Amino acid sequence: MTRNAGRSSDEYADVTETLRTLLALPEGDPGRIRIRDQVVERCLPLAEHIARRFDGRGEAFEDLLQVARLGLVNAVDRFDPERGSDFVSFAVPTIMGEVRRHFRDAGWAVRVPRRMKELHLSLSKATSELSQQLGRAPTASELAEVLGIDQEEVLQGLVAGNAYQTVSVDRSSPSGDDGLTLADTLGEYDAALDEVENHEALRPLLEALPARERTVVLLRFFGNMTQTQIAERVGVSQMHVSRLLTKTLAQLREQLGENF
Amino acid sequence: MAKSASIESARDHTPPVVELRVQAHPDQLAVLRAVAAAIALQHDFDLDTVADVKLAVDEAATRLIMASPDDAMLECAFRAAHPLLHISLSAPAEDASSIGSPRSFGWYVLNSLTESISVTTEDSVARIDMSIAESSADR
Repeated sequence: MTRNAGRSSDEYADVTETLRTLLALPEGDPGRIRIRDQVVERCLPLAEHIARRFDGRGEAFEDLLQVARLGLVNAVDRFDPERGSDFVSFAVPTIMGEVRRHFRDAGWAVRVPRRMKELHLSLSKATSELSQQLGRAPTASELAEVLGIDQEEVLQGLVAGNAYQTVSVDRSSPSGDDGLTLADTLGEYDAALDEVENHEALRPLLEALPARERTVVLLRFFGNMTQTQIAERVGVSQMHVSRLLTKTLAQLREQLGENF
Repeated sequence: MAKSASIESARDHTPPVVELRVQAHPDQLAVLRAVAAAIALQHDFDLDTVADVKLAVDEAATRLIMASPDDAMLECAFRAAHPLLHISLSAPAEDASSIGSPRSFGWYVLNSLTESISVTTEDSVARIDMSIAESSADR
């Protein structure tokens, strides 16, 4: 995992060829999906390498990794060998773009001292570790004990997290699926959705959400899972789940207007 | 003042209440969320519950703000009695009927976040009372 992706594009030389084979298959051929999955899996170290380059800048590594993998899937789907470049020189900027967008969207809304950002990050890490051990989300006093700091400081760090940008105003939601198979389709929640008065209005809005956002909303409100359980299932931090929920609810509220 | 108040509350064993008055405007939601989170953390609720408290306060306050006239004030009272956190929010309402329409998605969301919730209207003031239980999602 410590290989240098920049210098070792030869290492992935076969990928460009494999993707050519994929594109030669007719649209809808089951072989396409199989090859696509193979390529994604083959290139996972590339995504990890890029995620590592952005580690330590105030975002949880697991979130960076997930975003980088998302970028990889996009790169595989959008790669066009006819344009003359090899896959790696196309994929690296695509993945980095996705990670950079994550930083832009998940920025701090107000100026927060560096010490506070670091505290917030170490709280995020400790929260993941403790959740694994305890099988539930930790409390402020448990975090204080593990980190060897005052509970007061934990409060400050977590409340400072409220200054974290949750809704970016200038970004329209991408309607495309992010290609991750999260296996949570609306169909599984039909019965629950029917309980909602305006489900005819709600349903297309939920369908238009990116897969990750839709999964988080469905699992929390229709699947009765806690944020910690969802975090584990989706492979991001609990804080990220919390942000996604806040953002998505605000968006749905705006779209549904009176009907929310 | 503060001293006699704390003695009184100790005497009748009522958990302390934190009250907050803000302008009934969406700009104030961030303040409400931060205070709600701070109170839940202070009382050592787990982080899932803290996150639910923030979402519920956000949603309940938004419903009241949308129904309130311009320049109205929103009042919010928090009382923590582990494992429950009681929150009451109230604001003048021009049309209270939209606040608790029981089968709307927003109301569905509030219900799944809370242990109990009710809306009452008295003298054109709408009030949402809700309790959030630790790990309520597990039940």
